[in-house]
Amino acid sequence: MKLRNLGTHLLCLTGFILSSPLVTLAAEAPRKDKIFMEPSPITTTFIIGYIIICLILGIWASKYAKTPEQFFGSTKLFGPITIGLASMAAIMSAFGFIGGPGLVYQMGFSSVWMTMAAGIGFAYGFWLIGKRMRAMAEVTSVATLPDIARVRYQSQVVRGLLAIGLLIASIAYLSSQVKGGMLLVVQMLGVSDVVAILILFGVVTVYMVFGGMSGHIMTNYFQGIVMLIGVVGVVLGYFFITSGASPMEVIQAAESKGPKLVDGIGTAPLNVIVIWSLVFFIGVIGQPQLLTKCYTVKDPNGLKLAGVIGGCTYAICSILWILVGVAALYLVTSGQEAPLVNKDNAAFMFLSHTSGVVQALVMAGLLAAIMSTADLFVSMAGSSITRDLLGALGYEIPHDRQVFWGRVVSVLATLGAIGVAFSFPEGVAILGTFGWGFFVSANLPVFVLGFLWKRTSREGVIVGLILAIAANLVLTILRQTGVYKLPYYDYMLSIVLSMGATIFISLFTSGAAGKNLPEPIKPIFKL
Amino acid sequence: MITLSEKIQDTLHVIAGILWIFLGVAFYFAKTSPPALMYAAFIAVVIICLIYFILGASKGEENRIAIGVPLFYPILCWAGCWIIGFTVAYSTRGKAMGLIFGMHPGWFSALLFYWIGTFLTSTLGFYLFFKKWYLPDEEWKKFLDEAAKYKTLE
Repeated sequence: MKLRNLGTHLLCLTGFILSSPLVTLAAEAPRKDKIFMEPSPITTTFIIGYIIICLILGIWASKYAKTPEQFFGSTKLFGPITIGLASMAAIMSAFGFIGGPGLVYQMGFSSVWMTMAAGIGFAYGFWLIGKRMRAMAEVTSVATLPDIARVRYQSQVVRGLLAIGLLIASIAYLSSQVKGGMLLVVQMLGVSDVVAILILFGVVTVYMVFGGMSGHIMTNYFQGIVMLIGVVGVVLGYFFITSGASPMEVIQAAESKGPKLVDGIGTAPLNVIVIWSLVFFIGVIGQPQLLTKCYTVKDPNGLKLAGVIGGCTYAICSILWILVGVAALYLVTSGQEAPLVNKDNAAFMFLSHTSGVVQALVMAGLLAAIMSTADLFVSMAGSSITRDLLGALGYEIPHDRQVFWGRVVSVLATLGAIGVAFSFPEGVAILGTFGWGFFVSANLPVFVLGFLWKRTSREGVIVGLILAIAANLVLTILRQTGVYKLPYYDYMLSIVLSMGATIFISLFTSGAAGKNLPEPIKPIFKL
Repeated sequence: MITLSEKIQDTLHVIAGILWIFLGVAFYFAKTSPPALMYAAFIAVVIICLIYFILGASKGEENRIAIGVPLFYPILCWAGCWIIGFTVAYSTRGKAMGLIFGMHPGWFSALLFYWIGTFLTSTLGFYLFFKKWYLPDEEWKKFLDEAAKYKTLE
């Protein structure tokens, strides 16, 4: 037992050492962003306290991570409040706290359709397949999403394809958090890029190596609370900045801005609004952050509170997205600030007009948003290789060694994500798009169709998955290389292709579908 | 109570499939077409989500759904809120107008109907009718009893 603990410590240490050359690359990357804020003792104190609590929770959660099912899946372990808050924290990423306000600054309320849709999507997703996903944990041993897919479709091919996609998308998500996270820690603590990366991903790696999925859920629960407190700071800051004025009136009346920046649609084309309000609504249940939570609920009745808490707290955090963006627009329109060169600095511009305590609260919330999204994908990358991909290829790692190898691969995956982020900036752009697109285009046919419609067949899902992976990869590579640019989002076409193919091929095939459904799964369709 | 027979379910999934393909084509021509095409695409989006909502809320061996709860409330009320919220925002876009509670009428409508309205239907409905419709204790127990007859799947 002690030897295993020593192994875990060595893994963490190795992670820190190996990541040094990679973060040196980060240090060499050019940065044009203006530093809006100076680090303050109060911010530093908040952040150090926050990090210590995350580490304690992650290490404490290791008591729930003894078996592969517990380490990778936390199956049937947690209560509804924990799951609700953890789901929200995992889905509300750095994009929501930094990118979202930047989009409001740039295009008015267009992007708000994304965040509004996502909040409503929690309970909607549970209406669709929540109880049936939870029921799968009663008929089979569930640790990962590909586990469920393998049993539902009785296919190692489905399991393998899903694992490949989840792995690539997880690395993509992690990579996309690296630069945002680094910028944030530099702004908060005034440290170098190297130290910022070491702090951020060192902490995430340590608590994930110890706690696995349980570490993710426990820390996300805490991070969710921190994010909600951050929103209180934002509301206070908003009223302080706009004291007595009507920001919408000022923006609408300004020649440089006008009504488009305050109306319900904003400056984005209509097709973008329609795509966002679809993909960020139904797409929420396509995200592993929510799908995996369906079977981590201890009691199925917990889905009720988890869905409502997840959706409502996400909506509360969306207030940050809106208020920070509007306040930044107001600051520029009223002449208090010069127009931003980089829209993503809207959040930092906002914070530079608030007091030290508000800054510390919101900064801690920002850090929580980044870490809570990144950590799940550390665990998912580990499980995709150790359990699912190797298993699909016929090389099942012995049950008692899966946790150890899961930890090793999690560290390597984090290092890989840092390396990808800074070694291949173009690759990050490709993978960033692939991340979100893959999850929706692969998980909707496999899980939403698969548990809504008995006729969803193995053949249909295999073709759907292949199309999802191929379309996401090919379209984004063509776009990045300038060969061909689809006139709308690549992921939307991937979703159309995978859903269309799965539905129509399932009509004419019957593998693990209809009367060929495995007997133990048939009762699930009566729920 | 409406029974969604296997034939009806197949038909609903095929309709959804056709609408997915329609969306793929409509978005391709979005830049060169009148805005009405995108409004049609929006309606297609609502219908797709409505179909899955109805199928997800139906239950039992015969896939039945009650007309009052959950079909009228929360499902159809949810769709109505979404359509009203988007339609007002769509028809007032780019117009300088008097503000309602400090908000442009388009944004106010999106906030009131799309955001709050859909929360008060799909999310609140999930909470209110969880035990009564979505997952009554006896149905879960019946499932566990039935599942117990089989060996755990590998």
